[in-house]
Amino acid sequence: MTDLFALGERRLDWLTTRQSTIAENIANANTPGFRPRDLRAFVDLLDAQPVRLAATHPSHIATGARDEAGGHRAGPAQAWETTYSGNSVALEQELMRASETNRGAAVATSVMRAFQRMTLLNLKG
Amino acid sequence: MSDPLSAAFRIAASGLEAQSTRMRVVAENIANADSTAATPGGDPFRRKIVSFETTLDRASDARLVKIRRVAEDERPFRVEYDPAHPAADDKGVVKLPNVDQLVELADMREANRSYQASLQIFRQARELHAMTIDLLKG
Amino acid sequence: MSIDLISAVSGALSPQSAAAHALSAEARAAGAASGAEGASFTQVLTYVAVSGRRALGEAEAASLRGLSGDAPLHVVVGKVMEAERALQTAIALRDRFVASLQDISRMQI
Repeated sequence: MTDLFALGERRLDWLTTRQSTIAENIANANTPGFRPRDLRAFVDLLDAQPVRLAATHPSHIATGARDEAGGHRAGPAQAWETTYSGNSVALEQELMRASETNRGAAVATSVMRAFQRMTLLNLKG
Repeated sequence: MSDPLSAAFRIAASGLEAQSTRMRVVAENIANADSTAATPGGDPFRRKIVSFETTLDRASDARLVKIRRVAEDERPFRVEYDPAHPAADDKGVVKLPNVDQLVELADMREANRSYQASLQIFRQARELHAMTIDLLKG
Repeated sequence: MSIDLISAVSGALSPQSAAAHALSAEARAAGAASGAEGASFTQVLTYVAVSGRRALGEAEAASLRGLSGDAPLHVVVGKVMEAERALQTAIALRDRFVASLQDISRMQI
């Protein structure tokens, strides 16, 4: 993908989705039968076609993610997700993942801001 | 999710609320650990327990948490032989609450840990939000 | 607006117009209808003006949705940044165009 800005936006989409998945895991740490989720690695998704996951588990509600026009697209959100093999939520692990996610967002936003600034300067020059 | 970042706020908030309720219930158990019956042979305070359940937020497809209900622990009361006690029955036995202080304290600590974890997520979502908005600043 | 187009346009405007090839590829991809080989300055201007207008429109729509809470923040921000780049590109080209016209008007006949 040559467009850095489009890549940055996809990265932020992935990061915010991951953050809310972690929020779910933490909030539901004491809910019986809750299956914690995580997203597949971002690099693995870059070439992936959006795929609708079959509902393999009762907790997998087969809803699609909404695109900007408000319509449903064949759920990349579900295609992003994997399920832990363990059956309990380790708060510390979740919090570490959350920190990692925010660090990733700091990198992505810094890079995007720098390239925006440079692009505009280049045009004004 | 259409807007995962604002969903994260809602999810964390639901976690804070659920754990707060849990802590309130535990505090009530601790406060009433020795509350015997008002009448001889009557039942004392019965321990309360909370149960959690996942609830789906329609707007964001997010899995929030909520307290399904606050129920009474059906396990039997403790008993002590103390004929002088006002709540003693005709055999001199007093029924005491089925509350174990150590268990309640441990539960309180766990609830607090979960509360702090959701709070941390809330802070990080706020940070992520700020970082994104800052993209538009010169 | 992609970085490729912007650098191609900037390259084309510089004295060493080595990016003319890249520029013509972009203009052709934009569907500019012309019998001539390669991109004319008009084609580029048209493409930039049209995509600039579209980017501004998309940014406005995204901002409105953002204000009513319908669009994710990173999408709104992304569209606004895109509009900034498109607008700046259009301004740069306009300025070069005006400068060229002034140069031409000063030429001895």
